[in-house]
Amino acid sequence: MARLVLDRLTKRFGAHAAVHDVALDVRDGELMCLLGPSGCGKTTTLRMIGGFVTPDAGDIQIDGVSVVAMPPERRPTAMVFQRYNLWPHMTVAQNVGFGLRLRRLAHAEVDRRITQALELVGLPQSGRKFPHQLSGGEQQRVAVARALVLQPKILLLDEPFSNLDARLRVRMREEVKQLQRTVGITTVFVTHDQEEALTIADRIAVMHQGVLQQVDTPATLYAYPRTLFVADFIGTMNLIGARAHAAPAGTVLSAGPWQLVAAGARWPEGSDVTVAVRPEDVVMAPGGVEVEVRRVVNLGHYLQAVLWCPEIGEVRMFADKGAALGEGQRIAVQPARALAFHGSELVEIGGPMRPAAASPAERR
Amino acid sequence: MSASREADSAGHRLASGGPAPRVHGDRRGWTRGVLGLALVLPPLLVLAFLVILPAISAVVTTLTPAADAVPAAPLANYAEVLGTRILRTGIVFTVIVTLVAVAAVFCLSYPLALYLRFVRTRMAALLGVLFMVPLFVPVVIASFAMITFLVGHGLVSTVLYHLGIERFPRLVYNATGIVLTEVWVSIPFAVLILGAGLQAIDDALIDSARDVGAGPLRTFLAIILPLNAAPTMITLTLLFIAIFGSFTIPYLVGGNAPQMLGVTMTSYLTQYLRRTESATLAVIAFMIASVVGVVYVASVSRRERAAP
Repeated sequence: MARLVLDRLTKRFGAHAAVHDVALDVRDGELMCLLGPSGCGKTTTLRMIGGFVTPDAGDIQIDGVSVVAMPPERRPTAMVFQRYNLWPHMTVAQNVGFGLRLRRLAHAEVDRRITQALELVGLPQSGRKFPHQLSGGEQQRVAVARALVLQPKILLLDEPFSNLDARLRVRMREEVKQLQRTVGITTVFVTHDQEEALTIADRIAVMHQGVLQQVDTPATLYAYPRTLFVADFIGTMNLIGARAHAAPAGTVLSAGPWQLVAAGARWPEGSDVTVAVRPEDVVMAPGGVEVEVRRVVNLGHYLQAVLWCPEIGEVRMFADKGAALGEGQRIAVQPARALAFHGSELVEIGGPMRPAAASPAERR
Repeated sequence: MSASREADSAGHRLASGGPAPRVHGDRRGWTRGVLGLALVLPPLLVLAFLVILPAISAVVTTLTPAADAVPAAPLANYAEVLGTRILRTGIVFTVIVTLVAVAAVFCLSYPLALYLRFVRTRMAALLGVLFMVPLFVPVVIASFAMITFLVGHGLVSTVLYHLGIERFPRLVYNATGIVLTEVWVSIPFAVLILGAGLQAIDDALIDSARDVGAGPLRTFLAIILPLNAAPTMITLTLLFIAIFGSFTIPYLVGGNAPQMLGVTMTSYLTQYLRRTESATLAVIAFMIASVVGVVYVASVSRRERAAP
């Protein structure tokens, strides 16, 4: 149906760049999430696509046509807002039909499309109700119907479920994903909730301080974060300060008591590196570093253990729910996989070297 | 609150089986009732003795025909007042001047309120402060300022002469003067109330109208105007009542005849010493204002019902 291209989009508010040089390519029928903490520029980006904010630089193209000069009413986009979507003085049917009536469609056609849209979102009987007679979830569904009834090329959703309670939020995000698949509409979804983004997005664009950090599928984003920010923001991550040492096999990083070989890296002696380790990659190993178990939290299908590691401090670890972990116990662990960040450079560490073998002089 | 207390005491009575808790509960309710009454009493007394009783006595006076009246009908005073041409003209004049002034204030204030709500420029910020100025100028001073501004050799006349316009209607000591001054004085109030109403309309409601294809005019007519209906009605009715009953402006800026009701009533009461006619005029003015008052009450209650 439609492809959306953002070309080096920039928006300043005063001296502060809310959105800086954002380039993004949303494919036809794709659900793209804009994810980031509040104030990262994701909503500003969405509002620029919808036409509510004028960019200072850059271009927005829908199917190869620049829409940047068009006011919102002329853009082929439809937006669902966080809240206060529905006009309280109109019935649900009038809300959904407002845009159709502006287009001077025949009465019968308007009615037919209103009915169709309300059936699509599962509210066929609500046409005569007023918005205040609907629950929060139903109101947001009507807002989705109102957006889809005009058959826009791009659907824009601005944290549409953030005002709903947790259980409903989970149900609504599944419904929207289902609906988006059925209709096949190119969608941009703004959220600050990474779980929401990871569950519904085809691809996620992570933003931080107005800058696009990484655009990838949820799985790639989790496994291969390209920046330290993404590594920290997506999922749980242990970030450990380390120091680089030149070695024949590449660069050796001493991260606390661990010695890790960064095979592809050529970093200067003594430079500061951050090593990122997922809690599930912290594994018990006989030759590992001895640590103390501080706390064990049962999270249902797995355990989260907070370990106290010499020279580093707290390290989080996920373990099987059957694992024999007790508070105060001492266990030997090592990172099975890690990522090392040095400035903008990134090296993947497949597995750790045995602490003893890496540099015996330092170890013992 | 008191209902739940009663329910509590009823439950207690069931449990203990004795009649004592009931007495206790009743006494507590009685104390609370007295306290509530005591709190309401002072304003209620002021209202009763300073407003309601004098009003009733005035109405009774107007319904009591003068001793020498030939047809001793109860509405003789009204017949006489409405039969006097100058008073009849005065009533019509007051209603027309008020309606024109309200319309003018509204037509100037709504665009200004919209501008202040939707435009974010330095100019808008400046205007947002400037429009309040008349609110801080006492009406007497404003009236004399308007007189010096509008009189024969005032600023407006001079400018018009310099522009080559030498013949134009008189701007002061007539209805034009009253309307212009009422407009100047009332704009801040109207902009404040209309603006507060516009401020309460969430941006998302306006953005979503634009989003589905409504241009600025359509958005205004279909979304903003109906959503701001209650504040609009409140503004119109309060403006009507304030201008309808005004005294200072028509007294200072108005002409000798016809005069607005506020001025006429005062003249009849304090200068001609004709209390009955004055009271009759007041009752007529009150009836006109109360029609508008009903619209006001209806708007306010609709607004309260609409609020979540």
